[in-house]
Amino acid sequence: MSNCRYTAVATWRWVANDDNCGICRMPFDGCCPDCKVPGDDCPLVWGRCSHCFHIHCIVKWLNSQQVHQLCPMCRQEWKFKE
Amino acid sequence: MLRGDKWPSMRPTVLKLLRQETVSRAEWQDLFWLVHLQTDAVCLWDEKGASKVHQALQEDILDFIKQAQARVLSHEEDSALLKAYIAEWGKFFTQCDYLPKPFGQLETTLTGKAHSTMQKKNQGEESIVRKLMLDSWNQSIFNNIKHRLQDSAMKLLHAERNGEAFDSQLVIGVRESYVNLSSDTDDKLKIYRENFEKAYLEATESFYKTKAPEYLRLNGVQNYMRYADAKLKEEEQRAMRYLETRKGCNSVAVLTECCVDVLVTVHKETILAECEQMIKANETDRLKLMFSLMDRVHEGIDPMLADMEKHISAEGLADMIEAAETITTDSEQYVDKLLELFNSFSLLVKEAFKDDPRFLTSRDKAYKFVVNDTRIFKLELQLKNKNVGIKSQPESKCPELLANYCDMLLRKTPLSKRLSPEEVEGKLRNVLLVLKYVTNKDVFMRYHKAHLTRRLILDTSADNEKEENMVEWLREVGMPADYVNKLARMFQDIKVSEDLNVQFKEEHRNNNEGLADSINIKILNAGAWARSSDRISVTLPMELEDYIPQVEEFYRHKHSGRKLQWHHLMSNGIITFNNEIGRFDMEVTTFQMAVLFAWNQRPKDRISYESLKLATELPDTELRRTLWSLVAFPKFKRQCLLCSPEVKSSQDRAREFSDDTIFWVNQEFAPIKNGKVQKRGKINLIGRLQLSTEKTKEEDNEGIIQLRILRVQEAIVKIMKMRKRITNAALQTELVEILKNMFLPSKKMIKEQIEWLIEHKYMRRDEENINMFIYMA
Amino acid sequence: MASMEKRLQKELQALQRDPPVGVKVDTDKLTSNLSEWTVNLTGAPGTLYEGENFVLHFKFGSRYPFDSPQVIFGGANIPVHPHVYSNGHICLSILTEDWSPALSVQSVCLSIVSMLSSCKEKKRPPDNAIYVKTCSKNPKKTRWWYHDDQV
Repeated sequence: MSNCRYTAVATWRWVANDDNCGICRMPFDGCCPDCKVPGDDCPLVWGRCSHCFHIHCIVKWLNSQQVHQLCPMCRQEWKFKE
Repeated sequence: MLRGDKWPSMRPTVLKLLRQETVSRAEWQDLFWLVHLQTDAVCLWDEKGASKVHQALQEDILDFIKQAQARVLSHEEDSALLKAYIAEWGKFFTQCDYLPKPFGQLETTLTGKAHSTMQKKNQGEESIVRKLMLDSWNQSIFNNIKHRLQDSAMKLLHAERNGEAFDSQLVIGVRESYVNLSSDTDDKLKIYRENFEKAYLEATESFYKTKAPEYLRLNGVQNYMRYADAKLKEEEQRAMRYLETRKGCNSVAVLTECCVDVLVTVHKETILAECEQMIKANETDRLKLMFSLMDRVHEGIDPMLADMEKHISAEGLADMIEAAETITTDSEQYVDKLLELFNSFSLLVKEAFKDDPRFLTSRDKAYKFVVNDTRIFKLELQLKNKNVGIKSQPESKCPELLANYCDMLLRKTPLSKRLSPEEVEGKLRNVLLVLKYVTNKDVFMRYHKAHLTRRLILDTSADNEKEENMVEWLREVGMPADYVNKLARMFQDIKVSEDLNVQFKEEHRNNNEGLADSINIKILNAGAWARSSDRISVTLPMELEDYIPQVEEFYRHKHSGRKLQWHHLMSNGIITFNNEIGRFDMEVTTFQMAVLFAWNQRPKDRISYESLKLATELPDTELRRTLWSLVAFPKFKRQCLLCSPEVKSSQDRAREFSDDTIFWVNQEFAPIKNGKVQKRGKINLIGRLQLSTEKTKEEDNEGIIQLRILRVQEAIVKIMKMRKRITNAALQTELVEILKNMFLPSKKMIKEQIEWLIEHKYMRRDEENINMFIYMA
Repeated sequence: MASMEKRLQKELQALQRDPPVGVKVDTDKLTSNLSEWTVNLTGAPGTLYEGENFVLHFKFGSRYPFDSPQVIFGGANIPVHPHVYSNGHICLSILTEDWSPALSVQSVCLSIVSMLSSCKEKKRPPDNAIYVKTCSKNPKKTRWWYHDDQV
């Protein structure tokens, strides 16, 4: 008996330090309130401070800040994690 | 005679005019002049001058009318009488236009200067002289002979109804005299309506009051309907001829209504009694006739609607039950049967009732009943006694079968291969049509998604374009957007996975001894695909075990912040199987692969159940199920594995394996085609890919119920939030409306969820009215 | 549903399921799109406000949680506190400059309770009289000079 082809099926989930987005309070497994389907179209982003949000939520927040751009959770300066 | 009284000079011309004798231009002009002088004279000398002329004029008119009456009444026979009257009236009526003209000036004086502007406007039509003429005619000749006139006219009408011909102008002439006679400017048709129309209606009614029942008695309902229909049309035509049809006059409508009453309404019950039988016998022409008659009667078609609903429900069910044996096992035949029924009912509605919306509604209602009936087969959705405490209600298996049928059309199957793309599309559209009538669409959605998952995982779609079309069609028929979006999402994931595969293979081309090429990864979005996520441990073949961390590493690199969960249940592969007969490529599930690989190093060994358990690390239920699929794959004459003691009963199948049951590879295993043993070939051992374990299958069904509970709660809160206060009945109606594209909540479920929401302070009952709910946020 | 409403719905559920001590949402006074809330606060035991009841009014704009809510004390009993004006306005930096979308009704309430709890002497802010006469109705329009960062 030997293998000749294998289809491996996996599902992916976000690895986040919390279940919900600190801004919109929606679960990370779901999407932000402005999106319809979770996944690639409503991704999560991490800051250097290790806090994570829906990208749509954090961008909305950063855009509303004129002077300092701070992480909503820890108030450190927000920098996207590379 | 007073000074300036010109009447004596006017009179001869006036009399000539009345008698319709020739009046010369000079005489005509003189009359104008004389009236003018008279008017001036009145103004200057005598206040009473004008009314004197009026009086004199009246005397002469009455005198003339008296003579005319005598001339008319000299005729005994009806037609002659009518003819004479019409002739006299005709003359008189013409003069009603001429005679008033010279007196215009005088009238201005009589009615006073204040109204002079109005006078001008209404001159002619409402002249005093004209009124005087008409009123005189009305009061003298008309009142004296109107009964004779009417009687004569109705006699002629009666004769016409009995098939005798006569000069219709006579009746028309009489009607016209009635119409024109009125001098009442507010209600010009008063005399006509109160006399002629009334007599006409009475005559018609009494005619059919005797004729209709007699005809019905002698000729039966079928012929009677034709008779009534013909008579209604005939009477309408006749009414158009003999009754006044000017704008604002509703005589024809009134007459028609009267005919409907006497011809149809009175015999409604007798006619309707035949409806049921006619529907059964599909007598569309007769039904069409009945429909056209009953549609004229108040609430006439309601019993027909009820008969039709009853027929469709009964006929539909009877047909389904009769074909139960084939359709319960064959979803294609089931859907075909349902469609055949639908088409035949629709044809009936079209041919007999011209697709009247009310009949379409009845058809839909009854068809819905057939589709959702649970007598033929049912789906049991069990919910074990949890806190929710909802017991299952049997449901129609229809949505499941519809989904199965879609799968047969969309998957590579003998059926889909046989059909042209247009035929497949037509059949899919048919499914959607039936789906419209399914109350519990959530069951369809669940099965459809499971089938789609299998097709996408196993790559067995017949036509990708059609797959994606189907998603859009589901959207078009109103399936919930979040559901449809998830389906669309699944296609996207497959495409994304294809790109990932290419990239992965590029990166790993040079290591892994070429394994990367034989491996295909499908990485899916957890939210769109799987609902249950049971992790089952299994020992994979060594090469695969090594390879998984590499994929994980590769993926982590591509998408930081994501973690993968492997789904061995859905994973599958092709292995090469060698035995003494030959070499076969077998499509297998991961579990089958794990079991078969137990013989990899020891192909001839006999291995006990217990040892297989150790080797594969599969949980008991899954190992049993997998082994069963290898020792007793349906339709195989020779099985892949053999076991001892042999397991015979298919009832309790895999349960019979004990720890000591021994398994070995069947060296004789081979597919048999046309009675010949094959030495090579591709064999599919997957069958229908299991998406869940035995354990979670139950949970899946529970999932449907749980989801329904959740949806009911959500919908109630949504309604309460909007309405603030709402009665129980209104709440139920709105709830069903919101959920109609998913499922029909049972009364019991609604009640329980309301209680739950009250308990959890989302809402409360009004203290004064227990049927009123109030939102509490 | 607007995203502001979705988020407030979540907060409301959480607050009702698991209310913190001394904080209670008055659900009868919620508006239909949840844009206005009334929250009852109780002074913490062992503090100057022990046993006292206060009422907080929240007003949320459509940009919430990206904009802070307007929060003022209402009702008959306005706490006498160096950062609370007699018209109910509160001088608290998280309500204006230091707002973050990660804050919530619950965290605002708890901040206010703790602000009260740490008070050593019941008195009005020194500029109370002039402020109350001249201020806008909306405390968010005030350019606060924060009295004391310690509190």
